[in-house]
Amino acid sequence: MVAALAVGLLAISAPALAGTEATVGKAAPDFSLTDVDGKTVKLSDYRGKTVVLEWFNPQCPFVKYAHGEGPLKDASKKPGAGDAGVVWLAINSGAAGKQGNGVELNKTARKDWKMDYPVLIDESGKVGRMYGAKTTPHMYVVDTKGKLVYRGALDNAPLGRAKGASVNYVQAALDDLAAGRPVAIVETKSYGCSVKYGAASSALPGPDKAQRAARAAQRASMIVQRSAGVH
Amino acid sequence: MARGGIHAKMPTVYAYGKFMTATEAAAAMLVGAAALAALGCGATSSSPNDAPAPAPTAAPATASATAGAHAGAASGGDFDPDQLVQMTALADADAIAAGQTVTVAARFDIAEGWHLYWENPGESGLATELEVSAPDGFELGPVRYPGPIRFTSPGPVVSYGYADEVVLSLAARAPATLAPGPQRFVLSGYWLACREVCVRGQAEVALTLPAGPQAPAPASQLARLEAHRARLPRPFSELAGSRHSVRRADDALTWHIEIDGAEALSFFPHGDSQLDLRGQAPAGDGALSVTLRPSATRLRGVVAVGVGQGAAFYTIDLPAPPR
Repeated sequence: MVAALAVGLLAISAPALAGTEATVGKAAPDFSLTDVDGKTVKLSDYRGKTVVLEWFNPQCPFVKYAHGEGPLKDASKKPGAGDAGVVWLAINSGAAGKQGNGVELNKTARKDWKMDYPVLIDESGKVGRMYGAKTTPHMYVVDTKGKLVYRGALDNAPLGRAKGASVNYVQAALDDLAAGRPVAIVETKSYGCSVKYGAASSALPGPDKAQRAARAAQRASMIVQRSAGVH
Repeated sequence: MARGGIHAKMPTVYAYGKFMTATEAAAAMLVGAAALAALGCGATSSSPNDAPAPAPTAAPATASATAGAHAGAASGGDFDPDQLVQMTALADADAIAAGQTVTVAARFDIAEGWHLYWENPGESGLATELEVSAPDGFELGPVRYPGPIRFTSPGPVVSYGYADEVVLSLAARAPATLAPGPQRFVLSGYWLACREVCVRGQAEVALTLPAGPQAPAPASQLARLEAHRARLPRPFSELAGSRHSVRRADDALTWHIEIDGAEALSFFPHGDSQLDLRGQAPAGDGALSVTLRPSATRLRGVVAVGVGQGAAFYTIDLPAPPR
């Protein structure tokens, strides 16, 4: 464990270490959040149901596509619709002041897109980080026993552009669960906007520090060369 | 028309969160038409074969970006979504002869502070894509992506891509018998540009080369393509003084990658290695350790040596030892 931590601390880019975030095949971490209407929603309240978690930002182009014209446009046709055993929860982990943040904005988006499920506000990003949510959308499926059975992309068609035959991974996972089969595709790489977390550390958007320094040095040398040319 | 690139689908006009009105759609189409018309290659008024052989032409396209009505304010400040990325076509020859190969490329100029994405965008984003349609009989190779740089957003969310500018290219081989007259290529670019917020865009640019004895393109184009080639990944196995080894533990697979005399090594994952990646860390002079979760079956990606404009990239694809 000590060795694993050392690797994590030294890493240039270390996705959260196994065990610190939601892992497929293990219990989905419980959480309690408030929805846009002020109602408290706990994941564990839905034990016995299959829960689909959708990371959400109403101003992200991918979310706008999914809800405005893509696979989530019609709530009655979304994966699991019409099955009383399936519950959807949208979670917005954007920090205060970041794109897509704000109760009213999310309330309006929910109404405009006729979303028939709660939009939960996770402004601190605590739940998002606990699940390792990276993108909007980023999808998770929790089975009736509270086990995480799928994590990844909504489908293989970002902005409606599928590579080959289109597959909706959430639908596929729900179909497997409904048929009593183990979920076949348990993890995919999600796509979309980054979740607009607040800065929890020194991490800033943009190139890495070393790359920024190298580029700054290069620009400086170009400016020197240009001035040299003038004189 | 021969088609290359990742998709074989004509571009469509996107709108966010709503369908475009007829007026909006017409406006968007005009942008595309204007971009083609600006080339002076008779895109809308004459077929390539009956036009007089023009000089090679490639002009900037007006990007058709759709930012939606909510793009300002809380979404990261003021910007003009149509000015974030300018796409231009270029080639390494100013004429094409039967049986010969020409490099056809798209250059994307990226507004300061914004970035586009590599073929594996990382933990967020979307790959930049280039589709090329060529005259009948041309053989088109795969789209080539130069090595990326790394971007880290709070979370952390780590992604891979390009700032300032990027060139994507492919090789186009002319058929053994080439019809006389101008050879017209249409390059379609699709991208997601992000700063803190993201805007998707697309553009279509035509490139016309006369048929005839091949001669080099203008020096400025060749220099850009040379800079692009210098950043294309080469096989790690062909790199002198390079070694690798792998160690399996119960909870991790760790590769040790070493290149004699190299500085600032880093790893950019491809495919499944993106999900398998647990971390990477310098491992002494000219060495890097890359850790994947134990279920990984391969280490696939690109090793970068150095940072900034001088970086070089090497492709690795190594099997994991059996469990």
